[in-house]
Amino acid sequence: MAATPADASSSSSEAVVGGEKSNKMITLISSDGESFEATEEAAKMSVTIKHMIEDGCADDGIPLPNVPAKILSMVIEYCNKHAADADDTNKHVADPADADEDDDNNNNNASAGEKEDLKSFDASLVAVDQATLFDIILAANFLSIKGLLDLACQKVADDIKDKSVEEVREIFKIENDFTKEEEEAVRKENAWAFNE
Amino acid sequence: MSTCKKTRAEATSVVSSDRLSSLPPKIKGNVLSRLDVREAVRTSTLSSTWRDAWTNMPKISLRDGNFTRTRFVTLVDMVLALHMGTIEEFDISSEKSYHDEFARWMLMLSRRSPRSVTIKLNSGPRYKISSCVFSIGDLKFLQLENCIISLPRAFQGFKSLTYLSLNNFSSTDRNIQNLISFCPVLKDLILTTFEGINQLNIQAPKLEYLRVYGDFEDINLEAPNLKVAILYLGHQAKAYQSVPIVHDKENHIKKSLGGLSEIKILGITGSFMKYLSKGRILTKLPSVFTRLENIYLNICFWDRRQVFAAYSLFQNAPNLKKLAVWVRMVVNPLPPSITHSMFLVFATPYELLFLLFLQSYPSSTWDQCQARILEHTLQMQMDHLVTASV
Repeated sequence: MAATPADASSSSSEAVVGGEKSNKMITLISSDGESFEATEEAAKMSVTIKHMIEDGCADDGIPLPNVPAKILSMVIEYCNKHAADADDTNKHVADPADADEDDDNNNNNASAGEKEDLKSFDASLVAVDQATLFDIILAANFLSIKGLLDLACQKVADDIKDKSVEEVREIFKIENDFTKEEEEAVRKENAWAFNE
Repeated sequence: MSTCKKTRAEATSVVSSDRLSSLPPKIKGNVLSRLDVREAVRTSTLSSTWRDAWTNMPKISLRDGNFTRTRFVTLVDMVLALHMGTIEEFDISSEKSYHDEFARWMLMLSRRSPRSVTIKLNSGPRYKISSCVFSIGDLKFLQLENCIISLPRAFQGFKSLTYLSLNNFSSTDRNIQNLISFCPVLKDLILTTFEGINQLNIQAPKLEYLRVYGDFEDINLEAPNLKVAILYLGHQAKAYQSVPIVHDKENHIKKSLGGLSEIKILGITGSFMKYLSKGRILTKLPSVFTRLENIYLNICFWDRRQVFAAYSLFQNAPNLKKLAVWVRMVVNPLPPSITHSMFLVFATPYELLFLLFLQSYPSSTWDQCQARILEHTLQMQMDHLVTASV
């Protein structure tokens, strides 16, 4: 969703101090010409966008010709939610042996409750129709947002799991271009994976 | 159906199109990696485009759940033989023994140059890690259990290894020392439950996280970037048994922890505090741990040397925020209103001495909770304070 802060930035870029999180807003333009704003922190979850910002190409907004508005807004939603958790420091919980230590949450970025919140957000983000799911995958791939790509791929995998070959073909509309003999031959090659 | 080879339907022209098959190979591989391996292999019969898709999947996870022995062996053999692409992650785990197959699996695996290897074959005698594993040049992540570590003579090191975890292993001082020092970018090191090691020499300039759990006699840490160190010395260890030598001039805290100028979290558990209290006790250590914020301690209060050693540590940690202390026996548990896991046993003046040391910290640097506990326990002991010999 477009986030418009009170202090909307002008299009002039300011020098970003290395390592600090600026409140600068980045404009992202979808393939159908719609503009979205995101904090620099959230936008940088996309490695593609991160490089463009660092190369100074982000001044007048970043055009994303591959990403339609509907998908871009979902992507930005994801980035906004996950940006705060992206900080990698102290990802190791100090876990002394035979310690009764329950609280190391100063070092974790999200408490248990927040983690649950993120999980359910992620689940609802990818609970969409197949076409949208694939659009998200391609967008996440193009924008290099690993977390979102993995999330969407996991959803596809979940849809394939425990289904027979015929069922998978039906769900994903895969045309079986094997002849009966060809299919039998492939099955024989990998027989070890088929027998129960 | 036509007899000649069918052309694929154009992905864009039809309303209900097969977008799964037209995903870039890398993404297909990502999806396939998330399936059970056998299921991934079965996708080879979906259509002609899928025939070899699984052979490029980046992650291979071979878990021996309820397979029969022969079935699992076939699975591993076939996957390792047929897989063609780069293996980003490989993991194999089983409760059964595969000692006859292990060597050939390692050979096949090492030929694929995986980036990450996890081996958890926890049943039976320890598996000697073949020398071919030590020649996997691009290895970034290595996790081994139930194994014997013996480096080949021509070991070049793992130039890209950032994570190393060895659990339930046997080796020698030399082997472990070399393994670690030949991994120049090692960031995380975990060594738990080992045999055959007396002296742990850890030279790791980029190390940030260290966890050691086992029996050893001595430890030397040359890890100037270490941020978290959790050290557990077993109770059976020789270091625990030996009587402190009168003429032992070395200060063990200095020797083991002295170089850790960046340390942020320090866990001293098991009998490690006893080890640290050997030798001379210095109140002023050569290095001040300015970044040290958390200390977890196992300590025997009735051992005066340990109390003093702990004190010298606190004195050199000016920015300490959090201290958690455990004793193994809780004689008089604190009243239920105290919820934090901090138990102090009061029996001798030395505990009171300890409390006084704690009290010397300005309460503003403490967690609110900690301060409350301290106040409470100090109150309880106020009477005794008057008569204790400080």
